[in-house]
Parts: sequence; structure tokens; C-alpha cells
Amino acid sequence: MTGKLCAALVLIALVGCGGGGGSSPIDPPPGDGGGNSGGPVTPTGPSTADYLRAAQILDLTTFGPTVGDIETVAKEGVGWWLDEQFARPVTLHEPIVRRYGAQYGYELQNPVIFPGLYRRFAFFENALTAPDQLRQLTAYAFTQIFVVSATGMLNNNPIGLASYYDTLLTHSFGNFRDLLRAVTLHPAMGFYLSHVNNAKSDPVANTFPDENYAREVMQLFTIGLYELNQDGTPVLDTEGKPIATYDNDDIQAFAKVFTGLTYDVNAGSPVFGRNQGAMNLPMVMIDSFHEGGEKPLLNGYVVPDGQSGMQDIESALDNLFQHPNVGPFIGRQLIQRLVTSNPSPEYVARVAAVFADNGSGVRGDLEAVLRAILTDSEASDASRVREPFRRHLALNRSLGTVPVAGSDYGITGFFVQNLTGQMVLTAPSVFNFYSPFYRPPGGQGLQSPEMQITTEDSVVGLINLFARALYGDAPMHTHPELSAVALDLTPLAAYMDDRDTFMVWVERLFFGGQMREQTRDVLNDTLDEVIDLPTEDQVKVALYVALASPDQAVAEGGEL
Amino acid sequence: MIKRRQLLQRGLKSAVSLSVLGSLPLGLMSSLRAQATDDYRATVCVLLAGGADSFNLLVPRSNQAYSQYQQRRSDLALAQSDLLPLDGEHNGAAFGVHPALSNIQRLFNNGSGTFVSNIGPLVEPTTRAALEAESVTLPLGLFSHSDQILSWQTATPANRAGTGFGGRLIDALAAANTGVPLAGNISLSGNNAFQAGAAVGSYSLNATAGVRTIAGYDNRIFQGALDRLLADSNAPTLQRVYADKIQSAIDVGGLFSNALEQAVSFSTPFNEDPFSLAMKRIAELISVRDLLGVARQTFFVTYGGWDHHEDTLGQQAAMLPALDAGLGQFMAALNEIGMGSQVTTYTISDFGRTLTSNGKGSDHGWGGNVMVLGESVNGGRLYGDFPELVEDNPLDLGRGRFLPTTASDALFADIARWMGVTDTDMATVLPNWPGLADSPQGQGVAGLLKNV
Repeated sequence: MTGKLCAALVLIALVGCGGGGGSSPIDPPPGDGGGNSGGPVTPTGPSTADYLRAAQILDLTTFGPTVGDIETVAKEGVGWWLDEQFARPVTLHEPIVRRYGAQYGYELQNPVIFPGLYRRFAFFENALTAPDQLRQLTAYAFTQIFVVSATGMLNNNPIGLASYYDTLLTHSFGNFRDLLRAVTLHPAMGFYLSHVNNAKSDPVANTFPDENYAREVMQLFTIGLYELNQDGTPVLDTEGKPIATYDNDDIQAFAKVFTGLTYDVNAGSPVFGRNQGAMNLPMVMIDSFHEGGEKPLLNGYVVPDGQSGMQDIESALDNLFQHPNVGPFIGRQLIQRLVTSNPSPEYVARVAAVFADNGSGVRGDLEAVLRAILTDSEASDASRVREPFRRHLALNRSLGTVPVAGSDYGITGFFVQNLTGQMVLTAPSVFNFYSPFYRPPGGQGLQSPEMQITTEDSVVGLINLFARALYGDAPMHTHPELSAVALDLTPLAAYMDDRDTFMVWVERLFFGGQMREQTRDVLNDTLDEVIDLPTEDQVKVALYVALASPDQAVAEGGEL
Repeated sequence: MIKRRQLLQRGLKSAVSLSVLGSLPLGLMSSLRAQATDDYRATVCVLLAGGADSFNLLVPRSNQAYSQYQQRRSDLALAQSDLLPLDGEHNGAAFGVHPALSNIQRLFNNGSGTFVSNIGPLVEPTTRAALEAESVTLPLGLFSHSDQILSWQTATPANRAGTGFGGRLIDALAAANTGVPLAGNISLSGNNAFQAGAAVGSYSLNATAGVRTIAGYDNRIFQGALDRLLADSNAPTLQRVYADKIQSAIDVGGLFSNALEQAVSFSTPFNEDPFSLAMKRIAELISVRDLLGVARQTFFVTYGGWDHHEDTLGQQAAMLPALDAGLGQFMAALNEIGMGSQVTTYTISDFGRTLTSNGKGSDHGWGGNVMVLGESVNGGRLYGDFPELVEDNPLDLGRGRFLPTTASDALFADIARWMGVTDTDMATVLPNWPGLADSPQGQGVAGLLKNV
């Protein structure tokens, strides 16, 4: 794509490029602090170790730290930051979509702007500017577990996808059981996994309940294929083989449970079988289309005859929620999304224990689970290939891009999807962009889900996306109706007076606080070679090299 | 959509960006050019990801067999009069293909295409009785997408050894290739289990954008910096793996970029959808096989979105024309360069689906029907045993999920032999084949490929 960016780009000063607004993308932190777990603050300010801890935790809990974030957390401490984030109210997506809808309409034929993009605008606006960063990021992690993808009608329905995202946001710090119900009943999921308008068996027509949701809610959303120990390792039978958690009879029983749901409507009464309805209201049960009778589910539990359809669903979700697999199965995946690709069994077990009991006898408390994941002693030893899509987001958030209302959709559009291989809620299937179990060739047996979408093509695409962001002389596909977005390099340029200070900030912003010595040497030597360039161009050169480095591509902790 | 189209055009333009030519290993190029490979053979694996409902791709057309089909499929049944007829009778019945598959119909009827019916992954010979007695090893995760898609690609359905059929195939035939090893397995759809070999993986090419080159890599300072970063041999494992991808993009990308520059410009028109573009890229790469120094090659391309739990008829009608067109255009392009008999193309999918309907679509099954295309195919007749589509068929494990009567290994073994794998190497390429070969489920495809 950016092959046209000639060699000279790296060195030539591009007048008028790279400037832009200077306002901070996040709210200033509350002045009263709220905690002092960061330890005593000396009159000279936070220590180097404080900055390192701040850079580390912000790397794990935001879409990309800013200088302001790092200064604040270095001063106030990690504990303060987590408390502040868990206390933040949710910033929703649907209102942003409605703002665009009011401005540009929802017309699909010859629209001013394709309405399917509104929910991408909403995602980017919140990822880059919302103060509840950890919640936004957790919901994003859940989009890769409870996968719904913009296919077919959903791509044209920004309200439905934004509402689904908001459902994940709303329950991200709540209880897993509530999240599971909300996901199950959301019409976007009902459409995606086809359990909306799923009718009971019809012996005359020779039709049977749809098995799609029944299968995936078990395989992907709760328990997985095999019985697990609490540390995430498989339980083995006497022959050393894993033990299946369910069989096809179980699938067919669960399929009966998920019959009778249809779209709710904003006016009038819902009608089973209608292919449209409210995409932002939970599906409703029409009992006459729900399959009655007993349904034997997992671990000996039988849904009794005579319940309402919704009671059947509650019973089935309880049956899944209480399965001992959920803690290690979901916990391990959250660890992989947020922290590290190969958590030790002990790490998984510690998180699963918190899932089982938050300390007050509550199962499924996600805030407690997230705290356990983020504050575990292994969290600072992370080793994880950074998601291409998140690297793109991080560059835009860390360098003070200002996408407010009516912003450039170039950083949200097909161009980015093409070069990163990812886009929020746009996975190729319910199996996400990658498998949690993917082991790359040459990886000495290590798992690395993100390496599954890392190819000769994608690594070049991503580097070229960085080149475009730093050197592109035109914004990416800016629509005439929208305003351009550009990186603001002035804060970094201000540090260039002192090379060490500049390097430290590059390290804090893009390397989780820890850069390999080899990488640092290369950056320093490269800067020596371009010392005659204007400061902002030196910054660009340094950033381009830094962002192209495998060291930046892979978050690494303790092995330094 | 206009913006997509513009993107596409930009992508294609960048494919001919030559900024990387300066770094081409020219000595290597000229030595490769001398190595024209007349005995070239390639196999193209088209993965219909999601589990295509292939009992609506190949359909019995005779009255009695059709009425059984219609009875079992209820609202999912295609109209008898819409089926495109295949010549001849097979197992006593006439057959047709989905109305969107006119190219497939033509290829079948002119003898260069066929279907293998009710085929699927098996670990060992498997009867209904043995299955019910649990006395046989079954593929892992039967009926699950993520497992059965791996069972097909790996041909090791009982374990996840980390290698695939295509990867092991090229490992076994590596001596025939003189160019860079990665050129033996080319993916148009990214990393995949099919082409993972013990020795070599696959090279990924973007079907729409072609070979991308790193912006600014032709600048001395940036190149020097990136080269040093990639040479950090003490980096932790995952960084090393990542660095190797970039290095491979630099090393092999130049070779491919230059080769594609010299690819044949086909007079066969290709459609502009992603699948047809991928097939066009494959045809182009085959036209410059001598530049790449390959005599034995696999190609892998995914066309996804076949998990039709609902609106099977509508979605198939919408998606099959692109498949049919892409395959037809590919075959025509190969014939244009005289390579039709040296390339064999086949489709695989996660699984066949339930014959019975869930009221809107079909659910996950096991055995299905696959297409095999090429001038080396003894086409015009069906392979495998097309099952009787009745409820009391003992092969029906419930709702019309069929126990396969032909093992996927049987097709793979035929392809492997055609590619030149020796009997000695066969057990390495297809570890379960020795146990399946002499069983009924190992027999269904005998004679499918000519020029073995």
C-alpha cells in the first residue's frame, strides 16, 4: 500500500505534517488522589521504579498510555490507578452512533457516510478518549471471546453492534453470570449464532432445533471441549486422554433450551419468525415456539418439564456457570488477551480460584478476576505478541491524536483492516482472529495466538501503516464531512533536547517501560545519523525504527 | 462498494512497486531461471471454511433418490428442475449440481472434474457398530468447527502434531525444489495448518495487494537499523519468531515481487472478488514456477462463510457463483498456459452438515462431498459411495450426519502419489493411511487421478 512512500520519506522533512491539536486525549485525573498505594512521593517526584510500574500497568490496562497517564500513575501508584478505573462509570458506544446517525442518517443507498462505519467511529472515539480505559479494553477482550462479527445484516446495523459492545462494557466489571445472560439474549448474538427465531422441533415439517448457539456457548463461551483442572490443564483419563465435556446428545438438549427467542420490538408485539426488530433490546421468549419437556444437561442436571422458556434458559445458563471449567477456561483466555500468552498453571489456578470465590463467597466476580490477573506476580513477566490492531490504536492514543466528534475515518476504516488484518467485531468467524492454542512454528512450543495472523504480508502491512501514520502526506481516506486526524509529535520533540530523556519516554510509551539494550543501541545510532534533521523529523525517524522493531511488536517482561 | 474498489486498485498498483528490486539476490535469480521444471506438479487446496452444506452441491436427480433427498431436507431442498444435470448414472442414479455451479457441471461433463461423496476424516476403519461400542479411535472434537477444520487440514485427526498434509507433502518432495524452501507452500489466506511442515512452513501472499514491500527499506539508514534489529539473536523466543517473519518478508518478498512482474497476463478474464483474485494469483505464480525454482508446490486458499445454520438456500445462491467462477476461470487460465494436467485442485470444508433442517438451515455433520478438478482427473464419474438419503440408513448418526464411507486420507493418498510421494514416504506424509488403505473406507477414490 505504502510502496509509494519513497526512501527519502524517512529523511525528508514534511512541512505541515505531523502537527495537530495539542489537547490531552484523556481527562485530567481527579485532584484529590483517592489512594496512596504508590508509596511515599519524594519532593523530587516519582522514582524510576515508579515510572516503570506505571508504564507497565498502563501498557496492560489502556489502549496506549499517554505522557499524562504515565506521570499521573507514577505519582499516584498502581493501586490508585486500578481503584480509579474500576470506579469509573461506563462510557457507552450507542450514544455516539446515534450522534452520527442524527448527523448523517442511516440511509444505506448512497449515504453521505456508510452507516456501518458509525460503530467503528464510536469504538475509536472511546478507545482513544474515554476515561474508563480498562473497561473499554476489557470489553474489547470480551469481543474476542464472545465473538459477534459484522457480517450480513449486522454490518449495516451500527446500533445493533454498538449495543452489543455496550452490553460487554456494562458487564465487564460485573458478574460473569449476568454477562453470559446478556450475551445470550442480545439480538446481535441471536442473529450471529442464529438462535433468534429458533423454533422447537416440528415432526410434520421434519425440522429440529438449531444447534449453533448450543454448541458455541459451551465450546467457546463457558467450558470448552475438555474437562479442565483448575490450573487450566486438561483432566486425563486412565489412558492419558482428555475427557470431553459434552457430546452430541448434550448439544441437542441445549439446542431445545434455546428455542422460542425472537426480536423484541419498539412498538406493537413481537412476532416469532419475523426477521427484524429492535437490535438494542434483549430478545424475548415466545413460549409457544419453545420446546417443552425435560432436558438432561451437564453433570447430571436435568431441566424439569413445565418451566417457561426463559426459566429453561436461566437453568441452562446456571448449569454452565456452575461448571468447574469456567474459571480456568475464561480466566486463561482473559490472561492471554490482557497480559501473557503462556501463563503458568499456577497463575491460571490463582485466577480461577478468584473466579470461584471472590473472597466473599461470590462466584464469577469479574472485577475480582481482573484484579487477580493484573496484579499477579507473573503479570510483569508478560510475553505476548501485541495485537496488530492494538498497536495501531496505541500509536494514535499515545501520541495525542484528537479524534473527537466527526473525526477522520481513515484510522477506523477498511485501509486499517486491510493492513492490520483486524477490526473490532469483524473476526472471520465465531472462532475469532486466532485460536488461544495456536503455536507458531519455531516457537519452541510456546502458544502465541496473535502469531496466527502474523505473516510475511501482515508484518509489512503493519510497518507500512506506521509509515503512513508518521510520513503520510495525506490523511488516510478522510471523508470531506469529517475532520483530519494527525499525530502530535510535539511532546516527544520537546524531550529531544536530552537524548536519554527522549529514549526513556519512547520506552515508557511504546515498550511497556522496558526496551532491549540492543534496540536502544540501534535507536541511538540511528539518531546519530540523522542529527542534522529538524527535531520533529528526528522524532519520526526514531519512532519509525522503534515501531518497526520486533522488540516493540512483542511485549516482554522479565527476560531482560 | 466504491471505496473497496479504490482500495483494490491501489493495492494492485502497489504490487508492481519495485522499490525492493535493488535488494534482489540477482545471482540467485539467474541461476533459478535456468532451472525450468518440466515435470512440475502442484495441488491447490480450497478450504470452504465454516462447513459447506455439500449435500446441496451434489444432489441426486432421479425421481426416487430425489424424493428421498427432498423428504430428508424439507425446506432446504433444491428444486429438482433447478439442478444442473451431470452426465451418466452413478450407483444407479442420475445426479445434478447446484444451479450456481455451471462451471463445475461443465468440468464434470467434459471429464476434468468430479466429486468424492461422503468423505471425511477418519483415524482408522470405523463402522457404526465400533463407533457405538466406543472401540475405535475417533477424530478429536467431532462436529466442532475448530477441530474438524484441523482434522481435514492436518490429516492427523487424532492428534495435533503441528504439521499438515500439505506441509508434510512438500517436506517429502523437497528435493525436487531448487529455489527458496518457502516457495514450496504458498498461501493466499495467511498461516494455516494445512501447509505447516516439519521442515518448512508457508509463504503468505496477499491476493489483492500482491507482494508488499516495507516503506523506506531502500533507505540506507532505515535498512541498516531494521537489519540490526532483526539480527538480535539473543532476543526472547517470540521476538525471534516475529523477527523471522519480517526477515522472510524481506528475503522472499523480493523474489516473489520480481517473479510476479513477469507473470503471464492471462486472456481468461478473472472476476474481482477475493476468491477469483486469489485463484488468479495462483495461476500467475504457476506461470513463473521456473523463476521460483519449484517443481512441487502446494497452494492454499480459504473462501469462508459457509456456516449456514440459517438461510442455507439464499446464502448458497449468493456465495456459490463466486466459487464456481473462480474455479472455472482458474482451470481456463491453466489450460491457456498448458498446465491443466499438472495442477490438481480440490475443495475441503470443516464437515458436511445435517441433512435435516433446523427450520432455517443445517447443523454440523461429518461426511460431505468434495470437488476435485484438473486435466489429470478421471472425471465424468463420481467417486466414493453416495449414501442413500433415508432416515434408517445405518450411516446416519442422527439428523442426517453421515459416518464417512471414504476417508479423507484416501483422496490425500491419491494426490500424494500423483505428486510423486513414494510408498516408503507415504506413512510419514499420511500417518493413518497404512491402517486405512486396505479397508472399505480406503477404497473409494481408486483411479481418480491419471498420470500417477
